[in-house]
Amino acid sequence: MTNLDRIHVINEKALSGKNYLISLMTQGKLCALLSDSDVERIQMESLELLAEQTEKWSRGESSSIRVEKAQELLGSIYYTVGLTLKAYPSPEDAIEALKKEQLSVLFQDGLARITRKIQAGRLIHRKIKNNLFQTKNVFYRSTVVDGINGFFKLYSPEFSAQEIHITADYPTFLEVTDLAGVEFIERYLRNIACENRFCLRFSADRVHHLLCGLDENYQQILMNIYEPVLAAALGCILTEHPVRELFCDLEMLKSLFTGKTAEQIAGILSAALPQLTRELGCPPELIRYMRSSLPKLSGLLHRAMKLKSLESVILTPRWPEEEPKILVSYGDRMDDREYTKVLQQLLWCDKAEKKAEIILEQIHSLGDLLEILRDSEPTLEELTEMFRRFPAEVIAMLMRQYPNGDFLSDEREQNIYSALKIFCDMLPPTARERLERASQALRFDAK
Amino acid sequence: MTDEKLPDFSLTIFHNALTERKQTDTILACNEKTAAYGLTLTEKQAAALAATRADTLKKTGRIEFGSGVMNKLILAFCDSPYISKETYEDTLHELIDLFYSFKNETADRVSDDALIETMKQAFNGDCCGSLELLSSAALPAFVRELNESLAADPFEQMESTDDEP
Repeated sequence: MTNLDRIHVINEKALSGKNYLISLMTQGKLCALLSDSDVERIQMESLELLAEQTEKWSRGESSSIRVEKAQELLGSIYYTVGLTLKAYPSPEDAIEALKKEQLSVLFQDGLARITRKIQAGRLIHRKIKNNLFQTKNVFYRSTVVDGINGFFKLYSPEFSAQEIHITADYPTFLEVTDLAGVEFIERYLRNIACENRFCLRFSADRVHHLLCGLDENYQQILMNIYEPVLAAALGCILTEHPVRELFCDLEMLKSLFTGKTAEQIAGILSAALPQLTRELGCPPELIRYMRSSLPKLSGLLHRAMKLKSLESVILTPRWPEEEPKILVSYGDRMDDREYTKVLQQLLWCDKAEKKAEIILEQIHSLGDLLEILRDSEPTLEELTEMFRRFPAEVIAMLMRQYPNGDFLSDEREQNIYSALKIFCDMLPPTARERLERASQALRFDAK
Repeated sequence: MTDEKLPDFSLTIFHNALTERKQTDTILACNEKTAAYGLTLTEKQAAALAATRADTLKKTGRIEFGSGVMNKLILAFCDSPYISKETYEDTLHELIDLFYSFKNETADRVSDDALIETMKQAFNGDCCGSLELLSSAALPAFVRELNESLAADPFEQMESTDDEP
């Protein structure tokens, strides 16, 4: 019987990418493709393999191990066997192999597959590193280069094949789900390779300014770079703007998407894709990845249209270096004795308005202000109250200092950021916008 | 589709991998050699020791493969001047408990043979046959020294992060 003739009884949707063997066995049992004696044999062979792997792991020096370690070794065995079984044309063929072959044979086959996958992964990784898209976003390089280097260094195919040992912080646009171990890394790298190749078709400077349109401090934001570039590039095709400039007509796009469903938007993007790939000279693998990206992108665009915030998906480039700037110095710091005196006064004081008064009267430099706000540890309510008494320029400086709370490891700074947010949310929109504009114009003098 | 029981592939199916019966036989087989020192165990005593082993493995969160360490422990301690016919079984119960507990304490950095040898040296030496001294002084001191030597040798510590014993 050829594979085309085969009747597929196993529900493929019920099979897990991460725990393929177990899910296959469960389905095999449910569909009566596996008997109790098959299952018992496989269980016994699993035990034998686990004993062998334990012996290898302990280099023959320990006959017992912690249950957690045994669980990890067993997980590694199941993962590795699962990798072999996934390679069969259908789950039913995989069940046949499971019945016919010894588990140790399938395990050895899986180990060989892992070795090949590691080699393939290394090759893709080397290619990416040799031509890495240059961006100031710190997460891109730290994950794509350093993190993945860490994976290849730490990965142990024999004893923990299902682990990746690193956190792949940088998110790919098409998320890698339901895969583990080297399979996860291979898919992650393939996605990164496509996204990197796509971004390389634009000048790093253009992409930098596009991302500034999201946030001038995008360097520190955990975000995907490919998404806004692809969205802007498609936007350019749809509004007949030069693609490589990544600056499309947002108003025109809005009218194009108005009243459209996500499917209709996907259709519009799909129609624009061939021109985009032609203009950029995209190779087939990249075109496939871009095409796979369209359903998600159209969903994002549809939602943004509903929320009247298309500009959050189709970014408008910004040139912060051309915007007016006000250079702010941290100023001359007061001497330690003076500082301690002020700090003590603040610590003794229990009224927020009085605290604000002390600060405004006695603190004369930004450096001291930032430090005293941390050291005096005011509560969230006190801070909010104090900010009401601070002049607008001080608030603008604090907003510049704490643009977001994502990377504040100090709890006191988190508190300042939260109070600032509460305070700003209480302001009328016009006052808030004025403050935001002013804070954007500020630059701190590093001296 | 049937609603029959689904296959269990968790570690729980392996917990009794080495059956107590097999362990009892292993223990009894040691009588041949220990008899020379006037120490032998009855089948009932051997079964009790096998049960202690199973309980201790469960209590210490460990799982054992192969022939285990029961015969190694018995043969290492049978020539001790501090073990008599009367104390033999009770001492073995204690030693089993100490062995698996200190395998955990040493985070598997010490081989079975090395730990048994350390226990034997201490029991026959400084502890003068006192199980209390062995468990409360000698073995904790051994673990402390092991930890200190690892702290002093960062390279060894780096190797240990490779997650192998």
